[in-house]
Amino acid sequence: MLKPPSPDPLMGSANTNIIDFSDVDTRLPMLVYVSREKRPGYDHNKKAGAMNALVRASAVLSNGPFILNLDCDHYIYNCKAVKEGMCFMMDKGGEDICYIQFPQRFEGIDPSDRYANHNTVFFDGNMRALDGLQGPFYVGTGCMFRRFALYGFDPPTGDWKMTKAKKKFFKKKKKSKKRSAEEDSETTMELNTKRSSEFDYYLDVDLLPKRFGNSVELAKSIPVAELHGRPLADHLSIKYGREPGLLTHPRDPLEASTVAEAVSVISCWCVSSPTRPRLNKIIYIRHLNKTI
Amino acid sequence: MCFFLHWRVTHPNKEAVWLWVMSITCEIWFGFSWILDQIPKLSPVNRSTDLDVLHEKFHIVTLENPTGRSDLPGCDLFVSTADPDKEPPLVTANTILSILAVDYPVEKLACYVSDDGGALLTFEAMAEAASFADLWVPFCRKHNIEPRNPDSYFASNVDPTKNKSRLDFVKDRRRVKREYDEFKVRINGLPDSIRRRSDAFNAREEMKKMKQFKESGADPSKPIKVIKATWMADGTHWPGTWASSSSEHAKGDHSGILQVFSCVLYLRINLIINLHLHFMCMGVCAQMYILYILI
Repeated sequence: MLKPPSPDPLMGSANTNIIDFSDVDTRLPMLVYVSREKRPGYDHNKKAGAMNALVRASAVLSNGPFILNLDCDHYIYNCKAVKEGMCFMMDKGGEDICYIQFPQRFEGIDPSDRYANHNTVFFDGNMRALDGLQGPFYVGTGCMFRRFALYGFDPPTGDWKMTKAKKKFFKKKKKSKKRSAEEDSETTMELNTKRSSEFDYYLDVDLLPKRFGNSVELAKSIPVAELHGRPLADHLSIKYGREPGLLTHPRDPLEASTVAEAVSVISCWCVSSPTRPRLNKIIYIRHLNKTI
Repeated sequence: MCFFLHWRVTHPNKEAVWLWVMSITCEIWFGFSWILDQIPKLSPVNRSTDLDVLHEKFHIVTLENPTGRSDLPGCDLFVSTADPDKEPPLVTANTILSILAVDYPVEKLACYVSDDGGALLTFEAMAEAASFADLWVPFCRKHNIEPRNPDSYFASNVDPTKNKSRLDFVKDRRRVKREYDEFKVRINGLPDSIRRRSDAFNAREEMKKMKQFKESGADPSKPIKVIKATWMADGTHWPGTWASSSSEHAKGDHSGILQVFSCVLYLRINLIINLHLHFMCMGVCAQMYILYILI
């Protein structure tokens, strides 16, 4: 059994390390190495297949409602980037956002950028321009997804019959606004939270195995990811929120059976089973991250 | 553009009308699509975030939550790599270190590395990165290091002492720099150490077989076949791709591997589960589905 990081900061001691960490949190996040099964005769779908396997394995292991994907030669320049992404996702109306994309910046380019490797026009022109038109397209990396949207479900807004017709999610980012004082003064707040099966017919627990294969753990994780990915329902106007304080509980320890389940969902058989459903939402897009 | 198109339309080329019509159509279409492309650029969208509000909303201290535990949702970070030769493991390790040092509630984060090549080199580089992270991540937190990728941090030309007022910063930085250099050397030495280890284990296997062979009293002129395996440090076969390709261990033909580095407990429990058993079940499953369809 593997214990996840403790929910409270764990301060280091002055003596055990070569550096004095007596007032620093020394916990580390969970790190998982995954190499999916590959067999001749099963199309591995390159990066999309790898992402697919990761989505499945992580659904069983940690089931974070958001997913940030990076290439191996990228790194996070701003350590607060994940928090900033959450600002948009957790904002009012954030439940409609499918993904938030971070622009790529490049290193090791000649100072005058003779070959336009910075792609300034693309990242600062086109992408920001498209942001106003329902959102830019996915460039293949550096993107924070809503796990629930990646599974192919509709956003919770509106009647499910109506949204069923809409097959695409649109990225809508809204500026985080400061809550005004009058909003805070509302003491009698009725939490208008809906269950996930009320807005998406397909989220019925009995129907999930049909779409997502015979892994019970995976099917179970889907409504949980949906609920955890909602903004806080701390105001009347937020229709699809979750109650505050829901996620303050510590994570359950990882049991060997859970890890075994995660291994089974990255096997060829599970990924290419005939009854397996369209989890393969990620299409491989060649992106321009190679600099000359 | 309008004047140009107007001039083009009103001055047709009488000798080659078909060519003129084609080029006019193309020009008008490209002009139109250029306008479609330019219009959105007139008002690019700028987004800004307010991290204070986020903190205020998600770190509320209540009676049930006296320590102000974070209410933020979890986030899984995926890193995909395919070939340790084309994408050096040191670069991947740096990416992992920058992810592990992200400023976000630690218990909500999980980092997943997908190694499509199934290479032992990447695997061991990740293990090295996980142990270096024990030092690097608290160091970043202590001194607010930016960027949190050790390679670009130590390579940057900016004065490292800028905005740093803690007196032990210089001492800490020197130590971490030294540790990082040693980490780099260890990573660079990994391919060699894996090869040497595998050779040693393979030689041992060969000796064993030879001994068995002699005891059984078989014809000594027959050559002994020993599979050239790639070995892990604990003396077991690596389930992924082997240096000398063999069936079940070739590129694009290996079982699934999943390992959780439990960094908190400083325990690295090997949980590599071979999928061969799972594969044996496959025939059974297939039959079940056929029955299902028939019914």
